[in-house]
Amino acid sequence: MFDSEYLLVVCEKPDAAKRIASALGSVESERFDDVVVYKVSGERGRYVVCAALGHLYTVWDVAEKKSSYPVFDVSWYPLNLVDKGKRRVGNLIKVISSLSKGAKGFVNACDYDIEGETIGYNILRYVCGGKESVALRAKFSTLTLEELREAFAKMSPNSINRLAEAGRARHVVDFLWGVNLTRALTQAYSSKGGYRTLSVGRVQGPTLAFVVERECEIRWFVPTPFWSVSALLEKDGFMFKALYVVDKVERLAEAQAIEAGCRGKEGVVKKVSKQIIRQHPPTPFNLGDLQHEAYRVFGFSPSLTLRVAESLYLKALISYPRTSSQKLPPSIGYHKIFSGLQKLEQYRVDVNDLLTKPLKPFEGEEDDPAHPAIYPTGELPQGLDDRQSRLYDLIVRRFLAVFGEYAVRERVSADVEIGSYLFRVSGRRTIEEGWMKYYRSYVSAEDNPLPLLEEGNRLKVISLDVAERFEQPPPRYNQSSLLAKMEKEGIGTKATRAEIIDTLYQRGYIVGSSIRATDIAFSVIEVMKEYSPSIISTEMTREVERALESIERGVLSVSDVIEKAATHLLTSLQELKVAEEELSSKVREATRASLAAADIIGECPVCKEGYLKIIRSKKSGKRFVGCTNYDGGCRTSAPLPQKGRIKSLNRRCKLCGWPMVAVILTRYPWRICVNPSCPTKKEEGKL
Amino acid sequence: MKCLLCWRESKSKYGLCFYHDEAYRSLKEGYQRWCRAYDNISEVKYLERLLELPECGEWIKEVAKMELKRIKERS
Repeated sequence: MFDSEYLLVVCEKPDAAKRIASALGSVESERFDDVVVYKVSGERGRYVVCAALGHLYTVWDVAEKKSSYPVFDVSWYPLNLVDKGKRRVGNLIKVISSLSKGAKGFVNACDYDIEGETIGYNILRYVCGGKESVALRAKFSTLTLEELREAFAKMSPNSINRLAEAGRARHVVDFLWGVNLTRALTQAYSSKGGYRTLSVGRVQGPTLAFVVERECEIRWFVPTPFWSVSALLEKDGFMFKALYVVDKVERLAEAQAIEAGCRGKEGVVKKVSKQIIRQHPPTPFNLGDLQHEAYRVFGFSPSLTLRVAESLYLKALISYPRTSSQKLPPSIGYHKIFSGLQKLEQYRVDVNDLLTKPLKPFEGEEDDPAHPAIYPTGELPQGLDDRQSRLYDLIVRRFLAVFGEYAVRERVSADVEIGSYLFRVSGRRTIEEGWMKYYRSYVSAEDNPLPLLEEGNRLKVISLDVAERFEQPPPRYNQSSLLAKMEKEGIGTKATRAEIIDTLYQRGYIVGSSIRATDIAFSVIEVMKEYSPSIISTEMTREVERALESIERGVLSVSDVIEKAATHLLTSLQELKVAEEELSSKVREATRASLAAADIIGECPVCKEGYLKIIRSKKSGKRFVGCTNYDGGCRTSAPLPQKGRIKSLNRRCKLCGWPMVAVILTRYPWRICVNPSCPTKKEEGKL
Repeated sequence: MKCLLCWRESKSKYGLCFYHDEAYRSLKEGYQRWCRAYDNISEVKYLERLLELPECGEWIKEVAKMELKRIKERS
């Protein structure tokens, strides 16, 4: 390494370290123990830049016996000691520790947010030997060379680091909740023999409760009928639809009376009203908004959006994505960004158009003290994959739209009397596109113009229609709407919400893109609700969340918050202990039922009352399909292939109506109808 | 005692678990609304229609199927 003195710069990720090093001066890379570090000679001095791999330390149980609970004695440990798969972390710690010995000073250049601050703090404290309060802090929102140089020119010491304290407290509280509840649930399950890891985290519990609650509403939903009455009208050869003013007619007889009362009559325009609507531009993206929009337009899951956005940030193409802000301060340099974007052909026309007027963004209410909203840096993108290109385009187009003018639309509404019944027609047209022209690919402003209507106009009634409809159940959550619910309820953080949803999938509590709660989820939530409702209570989670935030503001101390959270937790654990037996039997039954449900391949096409199920013969050991209504007299059965895994395709054969299954033996599953007399089999036979 | 329709424990007088019991109650309430909407509809017709509707909840369909079977057996 350098013979003379240098500043040791600690970064969060290798890509960031590389960019930071190149911003500081001439770079030489060296490899120690498979760890790359950068030696930099710059105008301001010498630096050694090294990178972590996210967190190098984690909170862990001090006790030797790792299955007992309650656990309250915890400490920070190197990740490689806790997780054997993280051997590289051990090398990293060794290298950074040895580099710290020759350093004259230290710089924390991790991402400027609660997680970045915690990562940097732990490295400076544990690896560099208590340097957390003397280290300098480089704060930046983009990895552009210009901003990085400026950040290093303005570094300041960070002696009272509340952000890191809050981050560390959050890790401790989440670990205590996670480890204790998981052990309590797992032990409860295993108390009657067998083993299954059941986990519930501090934010996981209430989030799962949202899904289960919605699932109940859907499964309990009885659709109520209603009728909508409409008339097809004509004026000067232009046909348009009018709807009866009462959207939902609750009785069939009433709807039929309306239709009868209108039959053979003409329509008379009674009132015409026009309204000009000024539609403001969208607000700049914060992480939540970006995740919702990427889900809406591309179907990206929130965690995928975060991953792709981070990769764009590390390429210095966009600003730091883990932000709550919906504001774009002038200090980000609007003109510099626009000049950069002007170099890209696909944005040139729009950028030139926007540059003809003063640049003033339309901003939202939400703010973040650490970072502005997400914006493109104006650097030229290179080598982006498909997902990166799509997300980048969405971010650029949103950025441009934010600087656009209001869109102006006209809404026309007319009341038309047919017989003695009042109908309404409405139309919209765009007068000025405004910001929509910059965001055209992602927004639709459909026009449905009407002919010129004036009071007293007589309109021909071409036809009348009475349509039977049914009330709809609430929609299932998808990843985006579940994330929105978590945001609305104030649980989790912008950085962790997507990960919590992923965990619920991994634990088998939820399935599908249109999210369904599994039987196990029902059982866990049921027991919690009955014996320890605070674990799944949004209020309690929010309270802990607020307490953690108050550490950042200096209102509460770390020990106060941890103590408070631990007290809540202890009460919940005692409540759960009482329910151990019930929990065990409920979850066992749920597991058994889930496995049994997996063997059902569809409704029995013969008796239509039972289900066809995969059964293994006790005598021969061979598997076949049989009807669950055997006791009710149905003897339907069919042979099955004996090799490979069989999975229901959840659809019926087009020719005979029997269920279809996939036989998975090789990479390419074989799809068959289970009916031995299906015409498809005869066709095959002829061949 | 097990629920007549699933693996859960039954605590109700109808032999149903909490979820199916709630569904049974909703099914009965729903029938009142349907009777009002159609100026009377037979219970069998109501249940048959529900079973055809994609909007209808899973637990409702399960109790509707059971109820339909019961009515048919009675007649």
